[in-house]
Amino acid sequence: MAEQDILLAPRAHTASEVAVGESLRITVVDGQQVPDIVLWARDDAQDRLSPSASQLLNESFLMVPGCVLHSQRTTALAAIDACTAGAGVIVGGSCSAPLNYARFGIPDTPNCRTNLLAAGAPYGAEEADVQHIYCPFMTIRRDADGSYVIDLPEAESGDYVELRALTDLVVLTSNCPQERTPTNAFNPSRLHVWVGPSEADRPTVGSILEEAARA
Amino acid sequence: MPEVKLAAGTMAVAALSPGDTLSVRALVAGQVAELVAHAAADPRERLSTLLTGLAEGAYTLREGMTLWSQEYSPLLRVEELSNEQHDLALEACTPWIARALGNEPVGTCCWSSFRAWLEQEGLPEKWVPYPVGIFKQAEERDGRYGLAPGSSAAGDFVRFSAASPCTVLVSACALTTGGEPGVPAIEVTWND
Repeated sequence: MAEQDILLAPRAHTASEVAVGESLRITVVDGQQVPDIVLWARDDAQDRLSPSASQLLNESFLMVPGCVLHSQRTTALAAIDACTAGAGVIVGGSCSAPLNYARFGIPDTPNCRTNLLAAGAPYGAEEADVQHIYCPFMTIRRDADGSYVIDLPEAESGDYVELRALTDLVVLTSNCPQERTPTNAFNPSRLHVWVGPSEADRPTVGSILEEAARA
Repeated sequence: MPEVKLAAGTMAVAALSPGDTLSVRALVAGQVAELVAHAAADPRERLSTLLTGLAEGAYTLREGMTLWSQEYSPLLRVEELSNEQHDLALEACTPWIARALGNEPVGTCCWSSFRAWLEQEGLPEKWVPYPVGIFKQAEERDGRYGLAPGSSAAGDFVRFSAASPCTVLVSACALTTGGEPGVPAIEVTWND
């Protein structure tokens, strides 16, 4: 029995509670779409995802299947059981209205920070609570000239990432609304979010696409 | 002009006005310093290395670049530097990471020093920013990602100017050290 089984509209967001023994799967519905994911221990919001702890303890810059997402206190929060596409980016911040303004000169654009704050509102989340991001399908690289380059995401329809809770978790997901960079191929689209027992059957890609077609 | 010599695991605090300068100089090779900045009016507005990196199109410090807050307010500018190998991605070192990596911190970890300052300001630890890791390096070697020795040679420096009223915290890293415990490793100078 799924705890959560939802189609996430373009630019939408959601909050999930994922207990030990449960998994969260995010599936790309239409293709080339990126979720920004924030997580912390349900019983202690200060025990929150740490990109640096995750990278150093996994000895990996990118979070690939087999890696464990760690908190700043080095608590094992979630295991990455699957990620069928993408590099596995983990960073200290998401797109935000100020960042979009800095890059494009346009104020008040849709952004992940606003989404994550809205998703985290029931938990009293503030800006500082939503700055540590796992962004599994994003493609960003460092060029030799010292600059960042954001490229088109690799994830196609049906690709998914799956996290297994190692601690009872709060997980916030922003269906990234970025439309001015290649992050989402300039066209934000749908994701599917499923939470349920780790041993349960998952919705098939076919059933997700059928549901999406009806929506 | 205040001048503070920091041993690894200690921190300096400087309140800057626009136009003030602050320099961070390595006294011994290999030593890393971590720097954060908070807006004077509200410390919750703080350095964002992510916004800085994307707005400036750079993952390291460069001469002339601005360090921005998460609200896209300018905090500091890089006036001059002798070394361009710095980090804008990692979080400050913590005692938990030190323990997990099997390292014994030499003094107080940068994150703990930054948290202590925030607590004096009445704010919880979640407002600790991601720092500029001055001379800090992480790299993948033999397929394994990890911290590398600091890029500093003795005498290497970065000179900043304040772009707005702000409080700057500089901690000499307790993990990536270049010298002996208790020996001055980083020099911080700023306008009074």
